[in-house]
Amino acid sequence: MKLLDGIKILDLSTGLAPALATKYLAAFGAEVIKVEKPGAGDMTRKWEPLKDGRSLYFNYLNGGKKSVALDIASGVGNAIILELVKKIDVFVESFQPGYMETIGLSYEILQDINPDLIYVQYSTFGDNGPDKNRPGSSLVAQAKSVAMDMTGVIGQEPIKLEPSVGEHYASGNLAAGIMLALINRERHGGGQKLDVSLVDSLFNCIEAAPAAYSTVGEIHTRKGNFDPSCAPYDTFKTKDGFIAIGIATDAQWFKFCDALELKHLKEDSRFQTNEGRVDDYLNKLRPLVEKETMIYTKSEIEEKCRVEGIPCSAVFDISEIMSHPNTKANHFMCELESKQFGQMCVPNLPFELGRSTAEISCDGPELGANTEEVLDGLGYTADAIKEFVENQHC
Amino acid sequence: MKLLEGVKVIDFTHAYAGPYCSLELGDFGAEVIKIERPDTGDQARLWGPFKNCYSAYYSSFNRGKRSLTLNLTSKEGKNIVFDLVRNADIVISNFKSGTLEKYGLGYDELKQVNPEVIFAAINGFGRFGKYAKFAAYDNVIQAMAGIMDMTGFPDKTPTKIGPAIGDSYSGLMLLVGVLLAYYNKLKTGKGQRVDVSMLGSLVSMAEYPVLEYANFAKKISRIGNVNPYYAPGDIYKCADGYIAISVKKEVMWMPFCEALNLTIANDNRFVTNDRRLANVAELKKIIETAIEDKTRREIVDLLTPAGIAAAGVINIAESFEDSQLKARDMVISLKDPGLGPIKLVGNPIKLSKNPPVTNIPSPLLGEHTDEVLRELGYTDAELVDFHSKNIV
Repeated sequence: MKLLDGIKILDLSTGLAPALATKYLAAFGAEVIKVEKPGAGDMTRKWEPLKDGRSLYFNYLNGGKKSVALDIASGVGNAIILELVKKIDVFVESFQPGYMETIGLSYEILQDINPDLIYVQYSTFGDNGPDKNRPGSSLVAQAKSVAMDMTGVIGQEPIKLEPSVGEHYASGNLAAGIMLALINRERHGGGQKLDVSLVDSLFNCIEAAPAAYSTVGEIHTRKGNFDPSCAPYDTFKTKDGFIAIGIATDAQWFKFCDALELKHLKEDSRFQTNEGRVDDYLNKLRPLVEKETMIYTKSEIEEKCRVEGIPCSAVFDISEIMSHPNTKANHFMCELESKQFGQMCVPNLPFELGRSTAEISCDGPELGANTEEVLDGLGYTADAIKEFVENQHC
Repeated sequence: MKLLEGVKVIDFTHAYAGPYCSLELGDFGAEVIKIERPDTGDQARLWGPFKNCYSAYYSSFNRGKRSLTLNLTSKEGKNIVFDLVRNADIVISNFKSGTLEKYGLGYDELKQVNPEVIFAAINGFGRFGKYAKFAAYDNVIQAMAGIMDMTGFPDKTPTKIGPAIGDSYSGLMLLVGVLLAYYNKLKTGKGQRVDVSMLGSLVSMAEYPVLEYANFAKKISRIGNVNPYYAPGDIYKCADGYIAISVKKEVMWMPFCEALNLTIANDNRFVTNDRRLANVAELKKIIETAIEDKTRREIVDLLTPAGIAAAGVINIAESFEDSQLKARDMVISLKDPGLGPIKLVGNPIKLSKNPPVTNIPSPLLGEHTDEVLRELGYTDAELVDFHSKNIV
């Protein structure tokens, strides 16, 4: 028996964030039925990378889910949704806020039909406020949420966070919010509405910036790769790439000097304390350290620092982290057999439960693969279903 | 009744990753007892900025919790932990792998005291292999996960994402795992362990780069601020800063040009999305020339009616005045016992019946030590003894 066995999710959403949230729940046994537009389907069916015309991306996100093709704005589609709502636990949508009201599928209406329903709404800006219906994008959300202002080099333009960082935070908030609502239903009864936005989710990751500004007027903006409060905590050039080193204490600094045999820096009176090392760091200590790191390869420095217990890592590209022994030892990647693509490698789930097993799949459903089965379950005849398909309701 | 009312959390977390998770549980009504080292407490209490000698960093992530100081190396300290865990639902920590075990407070020991307890932990690089014992900082994790390589401009150095996402994202992933485990406990009565690593969390963000590399040996690396699929989709310099603009669909190109009074709508170099992507640098120059005298606000006001997604890049000071973030309660104000008035980020999980409780400030070090010990049944004489021996 899986953790979420018996939980039914009707997922009308498109894109990354909500699909990833329902993927997490599907991995623990929830039955997820995607509702997709007849003909076109979820937009991620066209997202790269593609193999033989099929999207690996779609299949990564939607493995193990079912698909029903349904025009929810049509009378038929609308009626079918209202019937399905009686039988499900969680309803997920990511339309423009307000759209569901216009087609008679608002939270209030669905809650009347099923008071235990958890209604999940995902949007760029959220379901209230002056920007509620503004056009949005991933980049716009980053601009709006301060996270982008905090990324990049001082005096230069802000830099976009990659890859899809905001959407991943949103998917975590969606999954956590759904679980909170399920827990509440289990403990106290009744459903409710969950409203998660991309902008809120990103804004929530800006660390201590609001506290710093509101207490001492300090503006946490982009500062490059170094930390102004401790040094050297930075990324340095090496012979063959870059290395990130985290030194936060005097003891770590002296050990670092020993590791790279930097007697002159270890004895330099300016750098005996953190206060001294952070003083005009970019002009004083940084060039001296980088001069030394340039002598070695990134893995040579890693080895030398690790022996001394200094936190450090080479800056890896995707191929280096995927093939790293630690990635294998900790199962960060998952090798799967896909019916459509053969052997497939995908990132594993980022959390592991000791007792409750999870299972991920890379075989997403064909568009409408489960339409008949689901409609049959509602009592529709084969003839009726055929007619719905002919009229492009399904 | 609050969502997690009556749920007891014993919180060994410190710094940022673990406290992110227990803060969320507290917001939804769980009773969080934070265990801190006597004398210094959570290391984040030593992290700036400071006001009145109190850390604004610490106070960002410990709202709603009670603070109990405890010396974990003492026999009495350990017994107090066992007393706490006996009635707890969830234990959370983000020590280096093996630290709680070293104190004799690992899952095996705590399970003896309370078989139903959920034991949740964040570590740096994963539990297995030789990296498990290495210390992790956010910049090191971002470097190793490939995130740093993917952020920034191709001709410049890899860039660390400003906020410490290695911490907050692993904290969020632990929250999802803990809530799954707690739901299971409600259903079956059984506890279990939940494990998350900072590195594994950030690696999981790289879904399409993993798919591209595994299948086509294509390495996704940093490309700056442009969008690889459509143009315009970039950050543009204007009179008072930078503005993000996304023209996602072909049909939006004409309205975009009209809104900004650009005469290049039918220019051969830009007439289709493919042409615009091919000439993206020239396009950027033309757009920046057209908007150099306009403010972010003016540009957003021109583009929004045309259906074009645009927003000024705002800093933290400006965000406090942003009407949307205000409407969403994403900036909250409270009175910190050490720092005085303080603003913090609100909770992004908006539940209609169970709004998060965000008005309880962070505790002073050991503020609730005596209170918690009395609740456990310790006498005043025992309390005096614990204090004199520096056990609490």
